Amino acid sequence: MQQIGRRTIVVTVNGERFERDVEPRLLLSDFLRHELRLTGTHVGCEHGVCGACTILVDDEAVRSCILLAVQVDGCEITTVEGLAGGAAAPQNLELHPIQAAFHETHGLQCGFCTPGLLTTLVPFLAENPDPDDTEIRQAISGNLCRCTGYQNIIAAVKLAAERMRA
Amino acid sequence: MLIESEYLFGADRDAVWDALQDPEILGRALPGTERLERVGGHLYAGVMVVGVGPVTAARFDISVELTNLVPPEAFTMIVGGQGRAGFIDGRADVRLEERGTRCLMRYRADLQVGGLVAAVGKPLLDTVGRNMSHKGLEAVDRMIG
Amino acid sequence: MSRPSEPAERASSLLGAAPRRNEDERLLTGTALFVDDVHLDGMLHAAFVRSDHAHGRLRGVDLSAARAHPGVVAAWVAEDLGDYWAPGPLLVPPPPIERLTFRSATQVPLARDKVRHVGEAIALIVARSRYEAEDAVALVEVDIEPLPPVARTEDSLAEGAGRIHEQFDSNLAAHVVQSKGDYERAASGATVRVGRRFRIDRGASAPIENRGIVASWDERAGELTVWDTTQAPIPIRNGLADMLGLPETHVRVIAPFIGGGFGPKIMMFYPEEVLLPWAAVRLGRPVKWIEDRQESFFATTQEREQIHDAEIAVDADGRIIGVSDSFLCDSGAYNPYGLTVPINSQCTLLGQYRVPNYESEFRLVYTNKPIVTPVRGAGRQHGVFVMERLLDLAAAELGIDPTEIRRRNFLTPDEFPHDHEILYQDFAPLVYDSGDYEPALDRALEMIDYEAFRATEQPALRAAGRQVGIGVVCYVEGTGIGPYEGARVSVRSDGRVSLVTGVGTQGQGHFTSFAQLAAGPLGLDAADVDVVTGDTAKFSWGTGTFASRGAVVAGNACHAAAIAVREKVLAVASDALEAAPDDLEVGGGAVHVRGVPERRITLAELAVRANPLRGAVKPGTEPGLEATAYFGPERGCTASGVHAMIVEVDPETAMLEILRYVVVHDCGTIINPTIVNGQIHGGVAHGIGNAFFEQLVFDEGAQLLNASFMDYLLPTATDVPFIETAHLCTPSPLNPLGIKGVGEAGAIPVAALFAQAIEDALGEQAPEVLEMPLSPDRLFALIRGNDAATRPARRTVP
Repeated sequence: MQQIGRRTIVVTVNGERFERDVEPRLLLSDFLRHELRLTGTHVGCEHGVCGACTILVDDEAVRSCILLAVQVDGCEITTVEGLAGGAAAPQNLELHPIQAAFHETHGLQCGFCTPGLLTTLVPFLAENPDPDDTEIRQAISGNLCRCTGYQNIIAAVKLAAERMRA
Repeated sequence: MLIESEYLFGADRDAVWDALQDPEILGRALPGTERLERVGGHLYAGVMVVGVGPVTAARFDISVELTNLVPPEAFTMIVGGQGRAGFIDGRADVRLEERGTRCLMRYRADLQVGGLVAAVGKPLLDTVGRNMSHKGLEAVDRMIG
Repeated sequence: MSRPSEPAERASSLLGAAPRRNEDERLLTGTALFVDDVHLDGMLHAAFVRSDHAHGRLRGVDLSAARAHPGVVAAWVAEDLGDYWAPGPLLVPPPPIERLTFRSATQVPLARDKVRHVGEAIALIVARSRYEAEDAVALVEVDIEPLPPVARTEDSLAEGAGRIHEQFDSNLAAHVVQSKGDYERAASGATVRVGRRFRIDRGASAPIENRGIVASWDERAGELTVWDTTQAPIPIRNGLADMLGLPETHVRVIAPFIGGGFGPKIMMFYPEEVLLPWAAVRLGRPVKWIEDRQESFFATTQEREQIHDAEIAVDADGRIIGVSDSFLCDSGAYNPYGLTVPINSQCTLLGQYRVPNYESEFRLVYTNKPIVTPVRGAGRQHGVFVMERLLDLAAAELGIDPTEIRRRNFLTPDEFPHDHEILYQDFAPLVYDSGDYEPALDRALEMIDYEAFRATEQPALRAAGRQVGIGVVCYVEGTGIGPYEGARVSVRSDGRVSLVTGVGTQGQGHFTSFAQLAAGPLGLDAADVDVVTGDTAKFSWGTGTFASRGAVVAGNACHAAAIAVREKVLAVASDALEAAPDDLEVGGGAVHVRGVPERRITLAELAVRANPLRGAVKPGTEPGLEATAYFGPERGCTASGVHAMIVEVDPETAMLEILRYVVVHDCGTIINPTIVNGQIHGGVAHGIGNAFFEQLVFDEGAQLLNASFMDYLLPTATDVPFIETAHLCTPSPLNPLGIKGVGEAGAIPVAALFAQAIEDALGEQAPEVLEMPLSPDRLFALIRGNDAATRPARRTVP
């Protein structure tokens, strides 16, 4: 039975369908993290600036901390957990080329902002498969990283782009 | 934060002075006031709702006291407000001067805000405050007129 | 100069290698555990009622409406804490400096009689969800009688300033004088004496992960488990056990993956850190609190606010006769961290230079602003800014090149160890262990092509109407202080190695660099070592990750433990292979007889042999291929470096574009150059923030006006340039591996560099840059305000 003041939503997250009753005020980031326990999506500022909570909604990068769960009723969502190919076999994980490139170029340190960067970059590289440095810097300028100074992230994006073009 | 400004009413000084003794009209002069009632003498209480920057519709329980009354020339208004978004403390020295048949109000308000409304709203409050006080006085002007 | 010992060198073939990081996979796939990812059955959520006033008397708190709100389980104010209410510990007592004044006031769990800064916690609400807890916070009525706030550092000691801690007769927290030689007498013979007032304002540490705590009490086991975003889980465990009257064995503090530390996640005993465990015990249910970003601007400690009045005296050749400095350091409302920040400023000012006479005095003062504790750099920026600016001023007076005045004053390699005759923050005398500064300067000048820039590029750019300037500054970083860290290394029966250490990790790559240190002596790869950090149940002794000490102190302990395990491996293998230990070689996951590769036994088999199920372990030996080692340095070691930059100033907007950025750094032996470079990059980005973007703006009521990432600007990918790095190596004689720390280095000299390069870019029209941070609008104002009547004309470098 649906409780008063709650809404039923149906979303597909990383290929799996979920139907849940949620409070209308529940943030999408909290829904993903605390209802679905997909804690790879991180929350850094709760006001849409830092980009750590970025996810893909119908293949577009959006900030899950400034959306409500009820707003994505019927949508397809991809979180960082959905990027690697063989998620079912964690011992033999095949990383997404962007993930692999971050690993190879030391594009992450504490790793807290990383999921949001990865999800920002997936549609960026799909649209712009051969970006130059300036385009990369602009593409990630809405993702704050306090550890890396961004330099190795840019190297990672170039490496990933090169591999994904091949 | 200091706001110094002036407003030229259509009405004469006595009319403006008398009007400001009415809590409903006084409330109009205070930006964002939704309700203001006399609770005794020159003491009023009510509710103010302020939207500034990312703080939307912040509700404050306010008290207003008029002191240093020199009818019909001058008074001091002391405003205190407390709400979830923080606090407002203000003091305004108001002078009413005759300008022919009209009345010029000069005021100097010192406003201190605290809490959320300061943390994310104050940089905008200066402009918003000026704008809102001008609009408030226009409304008063219309009510007198 | 002593070199790392022979066996250490032989056994550490992985030093300087750059294997990819062991921790990355979990972080990249979203499977790493951060504190907010902890979910426990029946978990409750906490939110705090905080002060809107910077200074006031707390007359009353009405919790009745909050308590009646649906979902609320408990609501408490200070009085409800009973005996548990106590001010936090003084984390670092003052060093034994003569004639020192020190008046300690530390933060309290919940404000009781007074509030002393905006955002100070007043009440704790626990509810079924964070949403309900915050709903209830809004229903709490707090009655505060405002008191005059002390907003500005320089007003804190003024006659009539509001008294923040009424037990003291002023807002003075500490007064310290350290000196060597006799500045006044020596300076009287100087060719140039030049002094200025320098200001550095506040910034936020701003890790992208805010703080958080989850506390869980197991009534039947009598055990408390706390997940905490701390850089120092063991001190937190010890402190909580003491406060709650539990044995240390029954308190487990876990610092899982931490989303950046930068200082304020140290063993602070923040109100939330003290109250959540108490609430969990009291309620018998797990309780979680996750700081939100706005709270972090008030409730997490900050740094950097200092005002220096400093003077340098030099002779006709530009040689330093002495420096005198008197400064104010803003402690905020409380002072839990003692004198660490101002003493770092005081000591780091001496830089890479020979300073025969030094007179340095500071006053640490209380104000009604959030608490100050170390943030990446921890006061060192200020010393470097003041000294480097003074050298620039003196060079200009004498008409010599700013790089030349530095070169003339460098300590030379034969002067080490060099005793500066004052005390450092670790209570040890400020004695530099080693260093070689001139080659680093030469390398930086060569990399940025200083001569060509001065001789041809800059004149050509000037002629084309462009304002492009160059800066070169030098700095030291005191790193790797004690007391000690430990590590336990064991070879498992699957042939892999477990390495456990007590420090926490916040992105520094410990899972890899420590793995390298353990893998080398055992002939393995870093990927063969599973590292555990920051779990007090796994390792019980240590202090934490701060002061650029992890690699130095814990790193040497990891290495020492691995060498001890190697000895055990050889002893068991000697028995198994019937060969003398000296004839054995370790490598490829096995031990073999030198020259006879088929006479081998794997580490896995040796691990099983060392832990037999039948038969006796021989007297005088221990089971297992395991060893624990500790390392404690005699004192900190001194890293150093040079940053150089070419910057263009847009004359219309005062916006900057960094055209080149070069770092030449010397942190002794490098464990992993990729990780070291990453630390430098991040430090420089933080330094750029502190130099040009990040400023916490308080109004006259001590209200913070930019408590969000919309208004407080962290540098983005379009603000941080490509950073070119080079490394020199002057190993530290104070630890077997010769390592020096690097965590804070990148951030330390950036403000000084910006000031010098901006002035150089603006040429004849340049205002003196004596304050940090700048911003485009502040720089614009400085440029506009630069009229010859009020400011001395500044000569540019010939």
